[in-house]
Amino acid sequence: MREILESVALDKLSTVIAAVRKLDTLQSSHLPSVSIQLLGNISLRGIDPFLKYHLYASGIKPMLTFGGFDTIRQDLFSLEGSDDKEGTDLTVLALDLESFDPRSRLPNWSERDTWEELLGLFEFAARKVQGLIVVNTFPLPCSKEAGFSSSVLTDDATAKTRDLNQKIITFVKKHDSQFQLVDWEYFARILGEEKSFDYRYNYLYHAPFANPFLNLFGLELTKLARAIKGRTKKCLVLDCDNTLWGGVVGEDGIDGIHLDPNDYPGKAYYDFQISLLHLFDRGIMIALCSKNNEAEVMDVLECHPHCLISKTHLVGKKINWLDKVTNLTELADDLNLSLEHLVFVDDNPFECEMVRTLLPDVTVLQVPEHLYEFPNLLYQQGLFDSISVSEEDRERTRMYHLEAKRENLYEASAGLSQYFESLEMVAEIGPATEGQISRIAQLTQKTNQFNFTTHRYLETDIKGFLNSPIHAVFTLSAHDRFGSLGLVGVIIAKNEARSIRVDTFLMSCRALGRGLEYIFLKKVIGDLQKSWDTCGLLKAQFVPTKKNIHLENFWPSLGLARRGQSEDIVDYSCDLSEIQIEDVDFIKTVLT
Amino acid sequence: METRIRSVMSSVLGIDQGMIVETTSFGVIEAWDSMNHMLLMLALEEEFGIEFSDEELGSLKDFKSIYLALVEKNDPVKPE
Repeated sequence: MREILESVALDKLSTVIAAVRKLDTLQSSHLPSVSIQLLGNISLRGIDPFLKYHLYASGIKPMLTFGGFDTIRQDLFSLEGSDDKEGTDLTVLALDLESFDPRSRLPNWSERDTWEELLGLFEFAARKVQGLIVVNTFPLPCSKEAGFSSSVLTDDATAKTRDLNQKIITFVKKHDSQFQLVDWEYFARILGEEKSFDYRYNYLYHAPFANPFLNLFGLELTKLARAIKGRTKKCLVLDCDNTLWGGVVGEDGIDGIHLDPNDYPGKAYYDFQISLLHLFDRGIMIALCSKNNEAEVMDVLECHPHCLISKTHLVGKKINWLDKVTNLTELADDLNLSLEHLVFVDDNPFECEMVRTLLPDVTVLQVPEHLYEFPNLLYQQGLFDSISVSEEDRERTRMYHLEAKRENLYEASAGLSQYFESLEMVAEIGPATEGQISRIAQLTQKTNQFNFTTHRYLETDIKGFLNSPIHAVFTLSAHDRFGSLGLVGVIIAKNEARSIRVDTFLMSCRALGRGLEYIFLKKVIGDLQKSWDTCGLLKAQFVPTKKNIHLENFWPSLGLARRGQSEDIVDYSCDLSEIQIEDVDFIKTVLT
Repeated sequence: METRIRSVMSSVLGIDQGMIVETTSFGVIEAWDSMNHMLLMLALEEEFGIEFSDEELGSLKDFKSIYLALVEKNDPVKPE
């Protein structure tokens, strides 16, 4: 089905017709169907291929019936008493103003009289039809009977048609449970005369509209069909780099990405974010799915002066280094949505293709090559259009927020270890070398968060420890499949009468939260027990500061007991044989 | 050019290209009714980037006359 849909060029009618003919013969009983009855006072058959194409492309099987030419009332009458009780889903009244009321072409036309007639027809239809009734506005006349383009001075046909349209719009708003509007005046405005009307076919076949107009008409009816068949998309999932902003935050930094509305391409991304705000306001859920470091992305959302999307707009996020297929599947699961409710936007053709292939239910939109087309991407597609927006829609993101938070707690236990496993972390642990002295000294001087004693040392101090028979200095360097973290951990130990005293134990922030600290400590203690032939106690200290206070339970959690406290120093110790440090399976250890 | 006309006709009317001969015409082929005639004219106009006059729209109702009209409209210097 996908290949057939992709063979279509919407500006080549023959490709649309050929594709639709193939799709009609395809086995598509698994698709939900929509029945649409098209009644009108013009020839409407030209819309058939376009309407069918858009419906098939939305995963809906079209069941179209066409009324006779200019026999609306008769067609509506014949509905009465028919056993078609479930009724059609959509009844389209496609009305051309001139055919509906030929007086509209004459001077002194009274649009009020026309409105009375129209209202009569609408009410008649409302009594006869079960499903939704779709009516249209009228395109404004292209030729001006007064000659001037301005209708300010004269009450010309343009002004009257506008008034009439306003009456139609007001009526539909008031009866929106049964009526929907297709705004022909808008189609004609954006397409222009040449692409909207074909006068030859109007005179010869009563088919006034050119193909681009019929295409828009078909797309608009498809949006309505999607909405009533629950095929409207519910959640927009966005990549970050070169999608939510320009550039790569991991490389360019928060100050280097493009999002400034006073710059190009910054403004294109900024305007795209505005379209997101509109969707958010209509209750569309927004989520992120990107390969980044989560902290950097959140930093942009919270701190970038031009970033309009913030944490509060999101119902979920998968910011990690897993593939997007896994992430999208999980995201849909988390949100209790099926994949067909998702629209995924990414700039990377590889990612887009992977999702299209492996998750065909997800609608994939690629960031256009020309960035100036980007801000309109979501509007044009109309994938999220629903018939009405309720208060509940607007509240939806908030409700999901609460739920998503809860689920994250569960996820933290199961999902994380999988994630860490996929990182393929390797820890290199061993005695410090000469070449590491300056980095070690630097770390003792500036590490605050994961540093139990905050003893600050100079290079000469470290050199002294290396040459001391009763001291040992160990380092931890780590890398994963994304690259090296460098030297990120230091332990300085002292041999105190066959006991091991941990003088310094520190870890760089960027290495935390992965279990590296445990594996590091365990290896060092094991190594020292052998080389120093110790058999006594493990002694440690905790010197609380404002920044390391979260470490206060670390030593007790390993089985060390509190031995005393003096001048803000807490002493811990335990028998070396009793220390409990669990293994961390997903880290491979290399001794250097 | 003949091939392109056949291809468009086959797409729009849903008939085999092999079935289209010089005398294939409106009414004789069941699918070629007034509704499909309009679509066929539109599709041919798009395919060849030309516009038929109102008279032609009414008279081009068999393969041969369509072919001749298109030959005439196309630049005769540029062979297809």
